[in-house]
Amino acid sequence: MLKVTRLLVKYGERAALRDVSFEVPRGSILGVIGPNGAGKTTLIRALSGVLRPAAGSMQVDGRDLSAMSEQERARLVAVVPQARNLPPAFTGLEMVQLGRTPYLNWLGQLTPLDRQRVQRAMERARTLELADRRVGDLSGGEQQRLLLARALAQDAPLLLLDEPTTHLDLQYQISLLDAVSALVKQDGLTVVMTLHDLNLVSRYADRLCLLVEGQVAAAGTPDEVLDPDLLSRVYHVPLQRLQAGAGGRPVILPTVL
Amino acid sequence: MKHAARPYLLNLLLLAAALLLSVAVGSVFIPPGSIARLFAAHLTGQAAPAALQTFEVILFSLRLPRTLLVALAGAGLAGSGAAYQGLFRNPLADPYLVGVASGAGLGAILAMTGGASRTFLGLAAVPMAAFAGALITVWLVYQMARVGRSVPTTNLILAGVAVSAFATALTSFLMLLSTGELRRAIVWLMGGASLSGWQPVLASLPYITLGLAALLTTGHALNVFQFGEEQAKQLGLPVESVRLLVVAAASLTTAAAVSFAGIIGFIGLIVPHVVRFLWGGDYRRILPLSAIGGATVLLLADVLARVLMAPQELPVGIITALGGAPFFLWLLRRARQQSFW
Repeated sequence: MLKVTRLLVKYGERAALRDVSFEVPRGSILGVIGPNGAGKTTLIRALSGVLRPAAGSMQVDGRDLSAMSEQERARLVAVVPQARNLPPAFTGLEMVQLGRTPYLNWLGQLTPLDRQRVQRAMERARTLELADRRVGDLSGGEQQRLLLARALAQDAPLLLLDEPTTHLDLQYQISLLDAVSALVKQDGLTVVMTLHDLNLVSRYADRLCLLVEGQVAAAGTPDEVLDPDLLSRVYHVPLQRLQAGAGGRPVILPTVL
Repeated sequence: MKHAARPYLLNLLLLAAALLLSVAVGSVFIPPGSIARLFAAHLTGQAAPAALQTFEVILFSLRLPRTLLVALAGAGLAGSGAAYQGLFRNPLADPYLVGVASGAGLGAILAMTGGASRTFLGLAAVPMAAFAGALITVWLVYQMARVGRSVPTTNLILAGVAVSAFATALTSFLMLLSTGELRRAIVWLMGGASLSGWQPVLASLPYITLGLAALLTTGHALNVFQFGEEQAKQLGLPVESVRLLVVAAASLTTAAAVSFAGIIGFIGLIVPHVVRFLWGGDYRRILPLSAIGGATVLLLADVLARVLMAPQELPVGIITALGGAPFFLWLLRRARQQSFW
């Protein structure tokens, strides 16, 4: 579904991503992991058209993402950013409605179909009760769910999540990722998400991609990528692996010396 | 949604009251009844009643054009102020930020010290020079702030502040050098409507109408902008072209307002804040309400400027700053518990 080939992204002279290639099949979750500065956010920004790659290609169902207008791209790729600095004065409903932007005219007039899609997106992200609340009065978890609803309102087959759980407590982390996981199963959405928490990612992702200094250091199933020796080298801390996670997924812990 | 029309009604009523006050009040008071009769006579093409002929001259060749010019300027300044604030997501943004106002000031002073106002043709050239100064400054700021093909907002603000300061310093220097034209220049700079008659109204009308009309269509785009440029792009908005359109339209509006009515501070900063505080953050509402409110506030300030020290007129810029700054601080204190920005 998503096919990235030999991607090169530069900040000025410095290459932030080099020779990055991977594929994500429809209806699956790719988890992107790696230490700070490895290029995880750069990858999200390139896929969503904020950064222009210097070389390589990114294709959704065979269509080249970099050749598209913002509007065309936003109909294929939706981003769930971190809930930070959201404009406080909008209501939940107004914010989710802006997710329809790629389908709206210059004046932003909503058709009955748009309102229906917004309603459905809010149902799926379990945010209906937030419709009339002021965004500034909501908790971080509620804001994050609204951002998910806004992305769903874009009706895009590919969903990118950039560290969606960073500011959330454990309960909200699980509930957000459960919601994403359900969407993938029910609607066949394809998801690329970056996460710091190796154990969360191991629980939800079908495949993992480990980025180190802008290059793919390992790719495969969580079982293959979450190798304690490899990760210890990458993160510069001794790590050990337990096989006790949900559904037999591996759990990575710092070694107690 | 229930009361969507209410803020518009309220603002239009206030505007109507301010318009009436502005044509009625001055060195000679014209009673509203006489104003109505004069308008009725004009519309039906009849000659005005003999008793009202003095009023007729004052009303149609002095008060009405001035009132319309002030209303246009107020609407333009507040409307473009709202657009700048939305575009830069910065509560400090106003027509001064990108250097438009100070550029216009420099242009005007250059024309005045160049002796332009000694001839009739030169007199008409002063606002034109201001207009040119404004546009050159915006272009300069834009070029300085540019990085490759994009213009980061912080760069734009920093370049705007620097270029503004430079233009203001040049203006002050030129004013020190000049002698005879000094007073006239100062009055103009402080926002005295030193131009009178229908000429400036007709000259500024197309620019301000065009600029404001373009700005009024950008409400939805500015709403998307409130999430930052990165998210705006991810939501499918052509960020670069939107920014260019808003800057161009807002600068055109401001330059026209400043060129024909002088430099008038605080309207572009305060009116959008009040509107946002009272009626929320939706730019499809903020833009039109700011334009209407800006016209009202500037009209009231102009009436005060005419009556406070009558028969002498104060520059309206003094009134807007003297009244605007304390009001703004009061608003800031009131809003502290609940961040409305």
